[in-house]
Amino acid sequence: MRDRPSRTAAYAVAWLALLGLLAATAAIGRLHLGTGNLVASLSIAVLKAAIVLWIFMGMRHATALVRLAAAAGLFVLALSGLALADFLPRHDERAAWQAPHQLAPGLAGPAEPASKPPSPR
Amino acid sequence: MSAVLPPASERSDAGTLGMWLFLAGELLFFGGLFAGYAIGRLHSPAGFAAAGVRTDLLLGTLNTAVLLTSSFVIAIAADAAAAHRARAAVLGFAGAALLGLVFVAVKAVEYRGEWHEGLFPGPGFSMRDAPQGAELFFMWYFSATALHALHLVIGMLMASGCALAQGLRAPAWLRALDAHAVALYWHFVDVVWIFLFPAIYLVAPRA
Repeated sequence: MRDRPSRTAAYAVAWLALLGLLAATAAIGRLHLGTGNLVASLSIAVLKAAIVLWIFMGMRHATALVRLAAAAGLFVLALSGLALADFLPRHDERAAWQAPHQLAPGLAGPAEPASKPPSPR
Repeated sequence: MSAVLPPASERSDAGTLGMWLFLAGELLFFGGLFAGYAIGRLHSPAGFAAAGVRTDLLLGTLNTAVLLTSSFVIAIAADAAAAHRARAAVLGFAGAALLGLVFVAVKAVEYRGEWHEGLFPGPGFSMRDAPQGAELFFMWYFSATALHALHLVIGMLMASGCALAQGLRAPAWLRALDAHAVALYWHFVDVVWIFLFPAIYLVAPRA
């Protein structure tokens, strides 16, 4: 708390850096770089988030306990990437739309025929 | 020193720690949203690209700048509140809440345009000839941005509370608001938007 003037200066620098990065990501978004677009926009987003975390959210002055709490959140967030382990290798199986009565009967017995034709979406 | 009471420095940290634990839980909430986005985009890249270029990049960029600025302002406000500089704290928290209001207003203009273009998922969805996944993109877009806006409105209420708490006759429950914790929450909502921005507006190059 003693170094307040320097803190406000750090906030100002962070703010200008964030606006600069925003301009950069918006500009790069106009270029046709293929996968490069995704890599650039994600890298810039991570950089912007790091600036907010480190300077605005005061992580650079935080106690070890607070840093641990934040790191735990990030770790569990990384685990949610495991959801992709199932979906990533799967292909979408395309099939023509089928009326319900065309489906094979389930275990509960023969399916009842559709009473009215379903509207086409 | 007493062995029972923690040192004052640790006690004043309790609000910060509590907010960080809450934000860790919020990360899971938004993490699931982004995992869903990744699955949708990996499985329907063409549909997501076709839908993504229909979003309003100009308004999206403007809103990002507004939100980044609000974070800058609230960071100063939280320091001012900690230093008992009431005037600066009131200005900062009220300014941040006002910038939040600007964000929500711009978002409303965006929603209005998308509604009239028939981009809201449902029977009236206009991109019927687009590759598969376009409607899914807009389903995600409206869910994610609405949830984000809800968080922002909660942040605006708390920031307004922090501004009012600086008043001399503010009730005790209002003065108990932890200005630093409120600022942390605000920054978190900002970080979520930092990742929403490329996911929504930069899916594919325009033109």
